[in-house]
Amino acid sequence: MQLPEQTSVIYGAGINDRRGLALEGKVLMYRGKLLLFALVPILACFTALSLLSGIAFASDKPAGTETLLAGPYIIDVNLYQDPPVADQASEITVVPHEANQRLSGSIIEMPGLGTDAVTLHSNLVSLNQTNTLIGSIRMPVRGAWQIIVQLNGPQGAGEASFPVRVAGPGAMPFWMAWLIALTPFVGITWWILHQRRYRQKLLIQTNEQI
Amino acid sequence: MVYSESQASTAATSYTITPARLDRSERLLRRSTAWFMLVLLLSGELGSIWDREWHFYVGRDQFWTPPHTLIYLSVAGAGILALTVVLVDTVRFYRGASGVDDNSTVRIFKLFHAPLGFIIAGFGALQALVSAPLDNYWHTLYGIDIELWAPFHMMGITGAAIGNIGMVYIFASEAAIERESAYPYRRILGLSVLEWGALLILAGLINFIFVGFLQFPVATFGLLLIPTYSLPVAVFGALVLIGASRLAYKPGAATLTVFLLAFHTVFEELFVPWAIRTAVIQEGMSYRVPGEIPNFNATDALLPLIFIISALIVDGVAFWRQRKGYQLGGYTRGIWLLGVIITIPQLIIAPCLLLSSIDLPTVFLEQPGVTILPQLRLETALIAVPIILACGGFGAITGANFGDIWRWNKR
Repeated sequence: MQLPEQTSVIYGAGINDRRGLALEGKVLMYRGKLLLFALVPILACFTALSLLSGIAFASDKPAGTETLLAGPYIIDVNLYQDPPVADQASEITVVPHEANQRLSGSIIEMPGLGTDAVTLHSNLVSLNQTNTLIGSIRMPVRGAWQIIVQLNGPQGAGEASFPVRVAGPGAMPFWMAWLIALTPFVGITWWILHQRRYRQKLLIQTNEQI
Repeated sequence: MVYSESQASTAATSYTITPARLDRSERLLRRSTAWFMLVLLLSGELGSIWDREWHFYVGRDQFWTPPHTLIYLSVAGAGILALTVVLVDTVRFYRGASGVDDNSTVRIFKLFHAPLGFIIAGFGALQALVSAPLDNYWHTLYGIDIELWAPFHMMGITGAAIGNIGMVYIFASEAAIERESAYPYRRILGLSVLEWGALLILAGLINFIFVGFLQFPVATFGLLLIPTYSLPVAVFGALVLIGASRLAYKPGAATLTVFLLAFHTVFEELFVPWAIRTAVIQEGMSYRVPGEIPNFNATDALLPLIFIISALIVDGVAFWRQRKGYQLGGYTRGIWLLGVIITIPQLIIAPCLLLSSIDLPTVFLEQPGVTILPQLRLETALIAVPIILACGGFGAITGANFGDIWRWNKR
C-alpha cells in the first residue's frame, strides 16, 4: 500500500489524510483551550485553600505583650499577631522575668462566651536553649477566647490566662453567600429539564426498536 | 459484526475467527475509571460519616481533620479522574476512535465530547471542592456547629449528590452498552456487575443523605424550629428505590438496594467509632464531652430498616407488573401515588428508630417544662404529613424519570 504524501498524526485512525490533517489542526487549536479549562478550576481551588489557611510567622517585634503572674513566675507573653486571625497559626513566646529560670509548659486555647468552638491544646518548647518558650496558637473561630498558659519549673507549677479577641475575615452578607451557594441550582434545574426531554427522546427510540 | 483473523499456529494453515471488539479500549477506559471512582466515592462517603461523628465527639479544631482529609482527597481524586476521561474522550472523539462518537458521548461547551456520567460527576466534584474553602470561611465566622442549612453546606452536599448521580449514569450507561452488545457477560442474581455497581452507588446516595440531615435534623429560622430530616429522606428514598427498580428492570432490585445500604451503614458503624478512638489517642486530643466515647451504634447501623417496607412495596408492584406482562419502566402516570404510598411506612418507622438517638421532644421544645397541647400536635401533623408525602411523590416522579434514562442511556 502506498502512503499518501501528506501524512497526519491521526491518519490511520479510520480518517482519510485530508480530513485527518484538518482535524489534527483542530485538535491542536483546542489543546490550549482544553488545558485552560482544566487548569482554571484547579488553580482557583488551590488559591482559595492557600489564602484561607495561611501561617503568620513571628517577626522580630511582638505585636502585643501581656505581663502575667503565673503562680510563682512573672512572665511576658508575646503575641506575634494581635489580634490573632481566625484559622491562622501565629507564634507566641513566654519569657520569664528571671533570666536564669528554665521553664516548660503548654497553652490552652479556650473558647469564650458566645464562641462556638472546642478547647485546644498546644505545647511550649524552649527557644534555642534559652529560657524563652515558644509555641503556636491557632483558633479556628472568630470571637472571644481565653489563652491559658500553664508552666512548670523549679518553683513548682503556675498558671495564668488572658483574654484575646480573634479577628475573622470580612463577613460576607448572607444574601451573597446564598447567591453563590445557589448558583449551581440554575444549572441543576436546566439539567433536570433537559433530562426530561432526553427521556422522551429515549422513550421514542426504545418504542421504535420494540 | 467485524471479525479479526488470527493465525492459530505458524505451522498450520487453518485460521480461527474470533470476534474482535473495536471499542475495547474505550470500554476499558470508562469501566476501569468508573470502578476507581466508585472506590473513591465509598471512601468519601465513609469520610462524611466519620466527619459527622468527629464533629459530635471531638469537635472541629481545624480544617484538615482526618475525616476532612479523607473526604477531600476522595472528591479531588474522583474529580481528576472524571476530568481525565472528559479530556481523553474529547481527543479520542476528534481522532475518530472507535466507540467514541455522537452516539456514545455528549457535547458540552461546543468543544468537549465525553460520556454524560463523567461530565455530571466532574461538575459535582468541582462544586464540592469549591464549597470547601467557602465552608471553612463560614465556620470561621459562625462557629463549628453551624447547621446543614448553611449556604456552603448546601453547596457541598448538592455537589456530592450530583457526583453520586453522575456515577450512576456512568455505570448504568456501560451496563446498557453491555446489554446491547452481543458479547457474553457475567451475571450475579440476574444483574450484571455494572448494574451491581450502579445499585451500590444508589444505596450510597441514601447513606449520604443520612449523613447531614440526621446531624442537623432541625433548621432554625429565627424563632421557628423546623424538623427537616424527613423531607430529604422521603425525596431520596422514593427516587432511589424507584430509580433502582427501573434501572435494573427486575423485581427485587429495590430490596437489594436496601441490603446494600445496610452493608454501608454496618461497615461504617464498625469503622468510625474505632477510627475516632484511635485518632484521639494517637493525636493526644480530648473528647468534646469528657467521658462520651464513640461506640458501635445499633440505631445508626439499622437505619436502612426505614426503607425496607417501602422497597418491598416497590418490588411488589414490579413483580405484579411483570406477571401481568406490563413493562417495568417507561411510564410515569400514577407513579406519584406509589411515591406517596411508600413514604407512609417511612413516616412510621423513622421516628420509632430515631427516638433512641435524637431526643425529638427536646428538639421541638427547647424550654423545659413547656407542654404541647394535643390540638397543637394534631395541627403540626396536619401540616407536616402532607408536605412529607408530597416530597415522596416528587421523589417517585424524579426516580421514574432518572430510572428510565439510566436504563436506556448509552451515552
